[in-house]
Amino acid sequence: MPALAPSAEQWQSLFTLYIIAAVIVGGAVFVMFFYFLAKYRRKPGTAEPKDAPRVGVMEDRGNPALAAILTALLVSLFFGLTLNTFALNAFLQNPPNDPNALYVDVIGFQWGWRFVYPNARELVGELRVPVLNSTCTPAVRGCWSGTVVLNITSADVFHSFGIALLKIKRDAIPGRINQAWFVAEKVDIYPEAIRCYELCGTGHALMIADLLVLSADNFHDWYLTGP
Amino acid sequence: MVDWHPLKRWLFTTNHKDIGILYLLTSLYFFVAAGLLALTFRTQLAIPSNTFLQPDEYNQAVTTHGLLMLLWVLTPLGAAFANYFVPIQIGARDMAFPRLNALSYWVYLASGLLALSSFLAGGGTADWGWTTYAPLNTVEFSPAVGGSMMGLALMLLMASSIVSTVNFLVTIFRLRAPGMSLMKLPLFTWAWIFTSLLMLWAFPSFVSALTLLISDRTFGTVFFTSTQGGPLLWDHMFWFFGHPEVYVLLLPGFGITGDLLSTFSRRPLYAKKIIIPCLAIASILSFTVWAHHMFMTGISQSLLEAFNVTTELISIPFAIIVIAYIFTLRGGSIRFATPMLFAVGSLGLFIIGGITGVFNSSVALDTAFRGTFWVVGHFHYTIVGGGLTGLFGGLYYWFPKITGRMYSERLGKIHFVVYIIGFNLLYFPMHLLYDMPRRIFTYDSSLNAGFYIGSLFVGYNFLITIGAFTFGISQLIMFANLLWSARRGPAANKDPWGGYSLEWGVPSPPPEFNFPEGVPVISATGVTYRPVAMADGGHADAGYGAGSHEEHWSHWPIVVAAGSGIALWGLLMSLPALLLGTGILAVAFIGWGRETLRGRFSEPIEAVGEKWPFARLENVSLGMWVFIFGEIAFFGTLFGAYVFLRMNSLLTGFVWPRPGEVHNIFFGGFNTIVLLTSGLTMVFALTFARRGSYRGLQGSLVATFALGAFFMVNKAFEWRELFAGGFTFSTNTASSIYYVLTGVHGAHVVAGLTALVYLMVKALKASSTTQAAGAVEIFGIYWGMVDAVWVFLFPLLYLL
Repeated sequence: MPALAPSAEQWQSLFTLYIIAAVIVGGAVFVMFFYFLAKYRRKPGTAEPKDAPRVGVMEDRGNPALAAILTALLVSLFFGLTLNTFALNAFLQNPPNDPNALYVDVIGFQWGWRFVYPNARELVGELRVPVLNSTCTPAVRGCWSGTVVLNITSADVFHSFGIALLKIKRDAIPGRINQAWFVAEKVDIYPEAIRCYELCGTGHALMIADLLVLSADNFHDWYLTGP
Repeated sequence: MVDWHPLKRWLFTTNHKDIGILYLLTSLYFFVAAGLLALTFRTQLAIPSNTFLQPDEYNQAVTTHGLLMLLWVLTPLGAAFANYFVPIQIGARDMAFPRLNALSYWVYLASGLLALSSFLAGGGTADWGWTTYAPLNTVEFSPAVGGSMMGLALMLLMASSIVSTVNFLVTIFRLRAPGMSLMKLPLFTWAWIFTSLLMLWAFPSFVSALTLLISDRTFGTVFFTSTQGGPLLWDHMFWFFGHPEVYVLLLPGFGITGDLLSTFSRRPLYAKKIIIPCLAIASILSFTVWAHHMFMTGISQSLLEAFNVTTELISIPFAIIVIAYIFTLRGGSIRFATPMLFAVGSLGLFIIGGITGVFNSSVALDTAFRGTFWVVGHFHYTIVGGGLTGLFGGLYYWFPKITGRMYSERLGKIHFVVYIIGFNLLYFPMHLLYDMPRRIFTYDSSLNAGFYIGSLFVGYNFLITIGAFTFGISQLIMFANLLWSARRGPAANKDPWGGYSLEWGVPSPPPEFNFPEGVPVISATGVTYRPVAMADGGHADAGYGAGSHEEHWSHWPIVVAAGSGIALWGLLMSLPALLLGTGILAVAFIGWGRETLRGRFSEPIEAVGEKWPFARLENVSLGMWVFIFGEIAFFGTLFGAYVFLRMNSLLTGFVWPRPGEVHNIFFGGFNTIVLLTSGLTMVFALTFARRGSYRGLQGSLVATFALGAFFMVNKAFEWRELFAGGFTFSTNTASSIYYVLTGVHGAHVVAGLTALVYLMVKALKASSTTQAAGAVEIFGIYWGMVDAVWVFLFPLLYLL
């Protein structure tokens, strides 16, 4: 599936990195594991190993250096993974300083999402945003750049606001405001793209909203006058 | 076994092996119950827009499945084996406190029945997910009384586990046979040591979280409804317990897996001296990773990145153990009997769960995984794949030892194959559903991910449900096999596997006192047995413990459990039941105390044995210290909650009452002096007891009691004044935390006063005061703790 936003794109490449590491490391471990299981299976007529455990006796063996090597290997692997993780985290956490960004208040409630726009327009169950507009740089004023900053909170219980397509998620917690941001790159209607990811009562499954990515003009028309 | 009437044997037994069997059967019963619940909601989720379950039924099923499996199945199943085998593996005749052991079991059963009965409490049971997030867990959003009942059931279960923890730690550290050094203990016993230590610290933290929750739900305090407390207070408290709990679930099965891999490959464990420190490191680290469950809560990013790193670090000791386990196989002669198959399965599945765990450590990847089926898949691979599979390996491994009969190897292998296929069908596709929210009762076709075989669409959810039923059916094969074999299986010999732990050196099933040939003595060449030498220099006639005229049964554990179950049920449902339960408890405590006074449970102490590093402590004092270690976690978490509320009150603009504004500092100070003086009189009591001054001892005990009671009267007076002044439970977070902290402290004082009554009777009856000195000292430790807690509470509540 082609990525719809930088957040999703970058998330996907970080995920791929982890998958590659997992397949290599996990694969090596499993190959060794199954190889030993096959190679050292009991063969008829062979004697037990000399140090076979018996009641009260378990001989001591093993090489502590192995643990040190393994630790060093894992630490360096984790170091690489963590740097990438922190980089993506910094990207996801910090909205760009964009004067043309759209700020939307997101309020979770039992059971739905309310979106409040800067001009006090409100939508329930539907988030309308402008698409990426690369001509709308910070130098230009009065246009929608496509940057969307969400201020997420809850009116009642603990919810979690997520747009799986964009790989955006933040908990919606009463009394707190959590920020998330994204840029959508393609005009489209994404039905049921927005969901709640924390059990919030009997309506949890139905706490859904659609995402509408509109062209800058269409968005602006709606924002000012539209239905 | 002893030929008692079966009813007396099973209801009143204090024998560790009987209790082990009770734990085993009960945990398997809850396993079936919780498994059936899972099948109901997997049926609901098999296809889009299904209507098999109503939303509230679904939420209750999901919640109860989680709580039962985690707390009433996995840990007790480990406890079943620990009860049966840890005393044998260390070379002891029984647990250090057999009667407390029986109490742990019966309270566990009572708590389980209370949990199940919460379904019938009207309005259903807890429906907020096992994580019980605030404020969904408050009365406003979940008014059903069944939720509170589930909370009380959890607290009762925690009490049972904490008692059992104390018992196991004292047993393992104080009752080892001669030559059984700590490093020689089998891996399962080691795993159980760490499980116990984790429970000892994590469970009291959960009790304090539950205390605040029950207090909110029942008495109207405002911890989880206020902005100073609220959702994040619960999150921190819950996950401080919740993440160590994961290792509590994993370690017993994981330890068994290590022992099985060694036994069935006929090779010593590779690097056991590295494995054990790794378990220790992992246990300590498990208390430093909790906020990875809170990556999306918007708390400080640098803090979350720190938790990202600690979470990665915790995988290192486990990776080392996994590699050591695999290296154990090298050069072996591997016999693939059913227990070994399960051990191999457990290790393989755990590796997968461990790897997905590294994904979950990433604070950035969590933007997708948080709250989805990916997480569900991950933790089932670790605690079902790693934990339960290992425990089932243990079940087959020890079945011949427990029953004296062999199970059917063919059915065992069939079980394994179906189990592994079912397991992976069930949990692997969950990883592919990393966009699907967990705990949704329905989904429509837009979320119905899957794949095509030709033109036939196969939804992952459908596949998962097929896997769930396959996995469920595989357990029926096991039950059929074990039930049939327990009666009809061929007789098993002493040591069918060539095991190295001591249970394989005694008959199957082991006799009442485990070692019929005498005390096992472990040396480099193996185990020998020698006749029992008692502390008093006498010798038992035949066998280990036979001939001493002990009675190994007691009425009281089951009565205490029944009383507490009825009382807690009554607390929510009916006043007469509450009174009845309390009455039963009072009678039971008196009966228990009288039994102790008659010396029915004063065990003969073996003269020689390994007690390092606690050789200088008596069993009971070590038990008290262990218990106090748990109390530190309990009060520590409550203090943590206080600090959290104070700091948040700065952020949220809530003005905490100034010192002296609400509380009378002078009066509080006076009462502090009263309590501290009672500590002093307790010291006098001990001095008099050691010196042999009978009147001095009696006088000091009475003075301690009087001062303690006076403290409580003052406290009651203070509460009444505060209430009259409009400072009630629900005034604000300051009042809520004041009442909870002084309330739980007061409860500790009252418990102490009750024990003091027992102590006074004991001092009265003792033939010499030095005889009572031990008990006075142990009570002194407890009373010192109660005083010390107040020394922290007073400045916190009155002066800051």
